[in-house]
Amino acid sequence: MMTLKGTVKRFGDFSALDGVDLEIPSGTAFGLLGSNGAGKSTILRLFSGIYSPDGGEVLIDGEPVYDNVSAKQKVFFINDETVQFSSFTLIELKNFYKQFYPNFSEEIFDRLEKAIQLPADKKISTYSKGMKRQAIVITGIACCTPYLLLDEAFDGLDPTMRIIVKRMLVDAMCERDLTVVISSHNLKEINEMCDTAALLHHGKIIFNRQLDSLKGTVHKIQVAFADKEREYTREDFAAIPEILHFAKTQSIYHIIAKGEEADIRAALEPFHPVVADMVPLTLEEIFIYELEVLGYDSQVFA
Amino acid sequence: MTARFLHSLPARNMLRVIRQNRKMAIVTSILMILSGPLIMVPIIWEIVRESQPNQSYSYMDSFELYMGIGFICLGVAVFMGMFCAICAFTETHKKAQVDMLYSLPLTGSQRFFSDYIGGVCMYILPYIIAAVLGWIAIGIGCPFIHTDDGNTLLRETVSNYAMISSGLFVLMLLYYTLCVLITVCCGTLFESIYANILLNCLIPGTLAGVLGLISEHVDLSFEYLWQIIGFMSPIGGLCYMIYLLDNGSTSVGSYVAWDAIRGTETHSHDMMPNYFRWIVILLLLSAVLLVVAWQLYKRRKAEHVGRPFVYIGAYHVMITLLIVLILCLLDFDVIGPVLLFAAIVYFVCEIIRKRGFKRFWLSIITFVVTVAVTVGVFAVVIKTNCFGREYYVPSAAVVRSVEVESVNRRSYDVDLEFTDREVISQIVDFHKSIVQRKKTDANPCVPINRQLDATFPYRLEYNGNYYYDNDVYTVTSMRDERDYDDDRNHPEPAYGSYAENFRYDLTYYTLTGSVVHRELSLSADELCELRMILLNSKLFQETSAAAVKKMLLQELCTYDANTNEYDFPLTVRITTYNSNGSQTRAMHGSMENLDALSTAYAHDIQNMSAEERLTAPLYCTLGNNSGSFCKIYEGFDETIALLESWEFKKFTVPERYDFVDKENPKNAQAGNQTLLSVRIYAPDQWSTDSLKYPNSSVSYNENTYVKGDRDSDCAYKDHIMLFETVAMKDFYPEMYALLEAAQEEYISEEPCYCILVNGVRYIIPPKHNDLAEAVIAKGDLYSQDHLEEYFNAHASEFGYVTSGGDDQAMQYDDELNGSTGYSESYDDQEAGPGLQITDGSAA
Repeated sequence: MMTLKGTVKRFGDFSALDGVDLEIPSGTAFGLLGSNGAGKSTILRLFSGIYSPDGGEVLIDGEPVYDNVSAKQKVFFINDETVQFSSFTLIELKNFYKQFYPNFSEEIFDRLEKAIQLPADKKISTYSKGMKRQAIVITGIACCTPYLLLDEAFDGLDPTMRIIVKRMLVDAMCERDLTVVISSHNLKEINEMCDTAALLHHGKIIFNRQLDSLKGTVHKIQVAFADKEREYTREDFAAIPEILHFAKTQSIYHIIAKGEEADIRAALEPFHPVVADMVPLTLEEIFIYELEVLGYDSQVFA
Repeated sequence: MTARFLHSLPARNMLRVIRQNRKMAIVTSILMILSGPLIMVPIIWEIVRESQPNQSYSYMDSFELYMGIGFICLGVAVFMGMFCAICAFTETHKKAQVDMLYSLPLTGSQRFFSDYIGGVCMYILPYIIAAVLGWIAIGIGCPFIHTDDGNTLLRETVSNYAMISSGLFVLMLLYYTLCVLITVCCGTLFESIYANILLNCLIPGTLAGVLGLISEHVDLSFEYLWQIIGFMSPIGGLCYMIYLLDNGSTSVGSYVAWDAIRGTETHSHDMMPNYFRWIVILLLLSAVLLVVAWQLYKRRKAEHVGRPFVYIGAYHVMITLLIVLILCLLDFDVIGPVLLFAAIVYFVCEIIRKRGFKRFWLSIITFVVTVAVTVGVFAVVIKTNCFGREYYVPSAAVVRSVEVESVNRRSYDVDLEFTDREVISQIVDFHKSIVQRKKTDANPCVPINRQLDATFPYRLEYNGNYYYDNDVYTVTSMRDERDYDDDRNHPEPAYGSYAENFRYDLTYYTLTGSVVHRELSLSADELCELRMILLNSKLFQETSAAAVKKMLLQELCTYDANTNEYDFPLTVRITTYNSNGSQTRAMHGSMENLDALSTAYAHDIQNMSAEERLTAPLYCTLGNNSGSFCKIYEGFDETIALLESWEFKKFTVPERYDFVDKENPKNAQAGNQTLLSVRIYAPDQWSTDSLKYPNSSVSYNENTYVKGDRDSDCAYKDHIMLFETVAMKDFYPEMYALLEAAQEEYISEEPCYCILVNGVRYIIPPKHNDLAEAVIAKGDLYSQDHLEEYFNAHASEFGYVTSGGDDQAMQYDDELNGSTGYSESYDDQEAGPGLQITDGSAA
């Protein structure tokens, strides 16, 4: 299990993480969502022992990570750069990491390498951005660490290769109890890959839930009322647990609300809705509406 | 153990460092490894060749060039240490690498040391291989070296090579470690490079600047203080190593040259302890720097990459050193420009560091404080005479020995370590008197050159070519050309720029083990006082005599290393020489003859007082052209009697001044023409100080010596004249007589005329003032009419009284070489039976 306990991380005056508590159970495919500068990469770097926390704890299986060889051997981190060790060939890259990670699997590496057919004897500096990404991903998977951290993992990959890489990750998770933590702005991929996700904003966790339950608790309601003359306001529906968004188009009201479907319907009933459609939200819509509530609104630029 | 280490995680990171920087490692290795053989093979080859003159070893073409290339390779490879450090610690300045390197399963310490060792492997390992190759070259050359000279050379080469190779190893380690420390303090590649370059230069540079500034005002031993630089930085260490190698022996001045006593153990014992102490201190310093770098590395965070300076202290050290160095130029005359320059440098650095003008007011305050503190510290140190240290003289009772060493390194140097109680007491008293004079007199040290310069009223002019052109000799007054103030007084500060001090280092070794160093700035009078003490000492006399014998043995005989004996040839040649090699006479080869000569010399040294020695005219110089010689003065009666029994004669004027001598056509080789430049310095008639005139072989910079000088005004300057004896006597008898009377060394209470002959100063004893005045007076007589009259009367002698370019010189050579078989007949004459002096055992 990967754990953040009241973790604080500051960069000068800027507080990247402000007392974050987070638990990522083993075997989870965990997605880190958040606005730019929310602290997603910082969490990954804390878990991989690159950063030391300024407060709180960063634990892997109960052990602090920073400056701890045994904890760091459980983690493989793939960052969003593609220039690291570019003077190595793929084989040299494999041999290099093989020395550091005792569970490195040649068999897995060969299998993955054959699947994507990278030129193993050429320097990585001659690879394209996508090829470099593939090279480090297959190396990371072959290291067979219990935890694999990917920062913007699918950047630079073509659609076919995205599918291949995702399959590789899913296969690895199926074969062993691999925990994958993915940080990405591509919510579709998080949606596809992850079973749990956390949303960060300004160094704080907004939510941390399983995606299925998350989708079940946020609803988009399109509703029309019999009394067309009346102008309904957000305050009229105070009985709905939490309204993230409220808008009207002609006679139709669009409401994004958190809460159980039955509770929301019950709250609307007193106003005699003519139509009340409950539409499931995509993860992207949840992301946008959640952050809109926190003032992170694309409308500010309109 | 090694295998276990190589399989450890840090070792894997170390290999990663090398692999990742393999191009640079390969370049460094090639340069480094090439340098060893390129330097050593030519040296050994030359030693072998020189030690076996009878063998037909071919001359190694352009061996200096091979060595030069070797030194360039070595220099570049050594400099690469900075880049090895920067590249080994890429995670300190390369953002793209930080994540991958910091996420590796290594602790910070493991990563630091594996990076460090990786850099060492790239940088130091090739050097060790190069050094070993150098030793192999020496080892291969050893069996081919047999002669005494060869052994001496080999011994020196081996010991120097051992010192240089081990010293360089330690310096490289220090340099690399310092670069690692600086790199750890920086966050970007640009800052890493410029901070490394600047700090490596500024640490020794600023120290030298500060010490130089202090020693200008305070008579502490700059040479001693200078050694501090050698212990503080790699570049300073390199200078110190060269200083140690160059300073391993001693000198007894103009009497016996340094080369003659090379190889004696007189002082060589001083060098090795210093060397080992230096090595140990540098190793300790490297270790300290390594620990500091490690601790800083452990404390720096991954996110610090990209900052200009992660540890701002490094920047402040650098900028402070830079400002202090600039302020060392501070003088009241240039205070404005210096401060302005310092401000510009400082603020430019601040803008670069801050990437703009953020909180610039803080920079201004820091600059003002830095300047104020620096100037304040300088002022306090100078005003308090380095907190009173300048005036401290240890009591003679606690001094075990005292070493006297000239800083100016002139031919009259006497560099010896005295243990005699009487001499120690005299030196301590002398030192105390100097301190006392300094305390009471505002300007006690009036250098003789300054006085002489101030009193030079006349200049003998020579305009153009007297044979072909309209030539005129004139004597013009210099007084009108001097800078005067409105009251027609010499502006005092104007002389400072070309005044010269006599500087001596005194090093007291006390019974308690402490060492006291002082550098004395002496006037001519004070210098003579000191020399009286030194020259009258038994140590000086013994060392001189021993050195003469050693010199004679080295020059004349072959040392057989197997029998540990000198092998005398049947006939050995003793040469008295000027630079053209003048008189060579043969004597029967035997240790007895050498003993007789060195014993006579020792007696003469002991029998003459120092004053007698300092006023005696030169008789001849015994030795060779390559730097081994001893000077024989009139009054060295026993020595002269012995030499005359071997048919030597006193030097003639042409021999002393390297004129082309009709009697010795060897001197008329093409390109060996005599450049005769003579200047006369009249005595200071209005000086109230007593003047003493020690000799000098220093070539003066004539253009700075005569204010307002123009090249065309210099007497005989830059013009070739072929004088020969007869013509000189006829053409310019006054000058000939003056040159004959001139002495290299002379002390007197009376003001004396001095002459500069080809940049070397000679003293005219007061009894010969008329000769100097005659030359000056005759200057007025040489008009074009007089010259034409002279040449018409001496038309037949024009063949060898000539001037100008190579054509005339070659013509003259051809005439001389064609007319005689002089060399052969002279050599035959040398071996003649009439010149064998005494019988010897080798016969």
